[in-house]
Amino acid sequence: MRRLISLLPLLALVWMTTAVAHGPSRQKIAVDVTIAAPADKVWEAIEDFCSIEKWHPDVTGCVHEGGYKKGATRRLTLANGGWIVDELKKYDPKKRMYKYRIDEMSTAKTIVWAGKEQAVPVLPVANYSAVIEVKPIDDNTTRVVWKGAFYRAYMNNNPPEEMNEEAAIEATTAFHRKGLENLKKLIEQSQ
Amino acid sequence: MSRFSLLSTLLKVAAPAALFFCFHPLALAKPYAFITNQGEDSVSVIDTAVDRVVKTIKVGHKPSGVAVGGDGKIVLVTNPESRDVTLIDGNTLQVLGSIPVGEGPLGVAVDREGRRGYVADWYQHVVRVIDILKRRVVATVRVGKSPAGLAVTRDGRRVYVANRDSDSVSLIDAVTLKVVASRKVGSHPFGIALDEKRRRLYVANVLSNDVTVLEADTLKPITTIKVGDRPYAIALARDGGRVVVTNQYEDTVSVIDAASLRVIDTLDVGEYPEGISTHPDGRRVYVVNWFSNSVTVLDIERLKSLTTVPTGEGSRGFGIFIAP
Repeated sequence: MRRLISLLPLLALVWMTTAVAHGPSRQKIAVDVTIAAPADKVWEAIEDFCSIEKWHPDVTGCVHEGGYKKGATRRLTLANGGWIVDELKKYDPKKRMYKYRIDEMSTAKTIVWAGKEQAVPVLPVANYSAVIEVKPIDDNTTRVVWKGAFYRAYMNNNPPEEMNEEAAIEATTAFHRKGLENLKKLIEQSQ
Repeated sequence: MSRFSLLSTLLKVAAPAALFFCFHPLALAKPYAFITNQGEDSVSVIDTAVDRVVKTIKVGHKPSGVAVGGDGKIVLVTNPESRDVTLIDGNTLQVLGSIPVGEGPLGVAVDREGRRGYVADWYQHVVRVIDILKRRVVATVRVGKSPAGLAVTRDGRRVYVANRDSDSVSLIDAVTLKVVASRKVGSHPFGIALDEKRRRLYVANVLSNDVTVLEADTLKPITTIKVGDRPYAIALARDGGRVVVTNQYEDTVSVIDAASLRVIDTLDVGEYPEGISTHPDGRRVYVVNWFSNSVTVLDIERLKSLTTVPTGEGSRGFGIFIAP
């Protein structure tokens, strides 16, 4: 019996190794809003890489460095005290779009999972990249699409609920949705 | 029979035959492109004669890798989440069965005869050898960490594999099933392409944003070429004269000229391009756009996009998805 008990940690290890088998797959979201304004006017509101501090209720500050070349960055300060550093990947004013990815983020909280401390990032995702694009529908109607592609924050198998796919999709969708809805409100009010 | 009447007889037979092959649907229906749709557990079959999806086939869970061999008859699809490979008849488009293959099947290749399949296991750091007739794994070869892209020589005697987390490439002797050479490449190598005519192996390095060019026999480095952001997979066009690389983070492909080993153009495709394969005409290149759920068809001679084919949710097509 003693011998058996001494084997238990080994068995647990074998089980864990097998359990790690299913890795995460990349997720995507696309949130859009239709605004009663011309496309140029909508683009004017978001073309500045740091404009997000003006139209996103959860972003309280933004510091922009490096202009509009690939590799330029913005550091967002969030209403909840967290921060995110985004890096510009593509900026195309003709197509009225830009693409960026998260380089670094603050930790929202630390949890213990699978015997280890896990830092839950302020946006519970990994390898997040996004694109925001302004598309004219007609002279006075414009659609803004804000897409994100990412993995869940926990890269091993059996994620904690704070770091699983549902958490990642929910948090990013809510972040995009809240921003776009406020953008719509601000532009339509000023019309 | 006079020479003239022989010719006229030949014409009488050949002309309708030529017409038949030109316009008969069966003659048009080849080859197919098999596109894995990770988000909906299916494969979209594109008829490359008309560039649209003619069938959607249900496969295992979260399909990713794909390989076509045996003159287009054998199609292997890796399903990382159901941990198996789906075997499809590439002519009838029927699922023939599935083969369990360890913990994390991802990259896959098949030999020209369609006898053997090779499956890279992302988690167990091995390449598994599938006997396609027996429909089971017959051997396992230990390689580097998190193996991904695979390539098999035409004679079926050698297999190459990119080991993403070891930043290396391994060369397997397919007869002895031993790793006979390995070489460090760039950071996180993923997709590879083998040019047997020039005896070169091209390796896309996801994190270092470049392509390593190796001598295929010795794995001796020839050069490194900077490409776009997050290169993923590689296809050879114009008989290896052009090397086309998908750049996931910038929605483009880089076109490399094999003679000068330089990027000669960068073409826009859909969002998050991943898998890439060349039509046997050597000219049309099919690029799978993961975010856009589509395939962009490029004319690599005129360096322009011909059309976009809508596919399924989360299309990936990692591997040679059109019979070479």
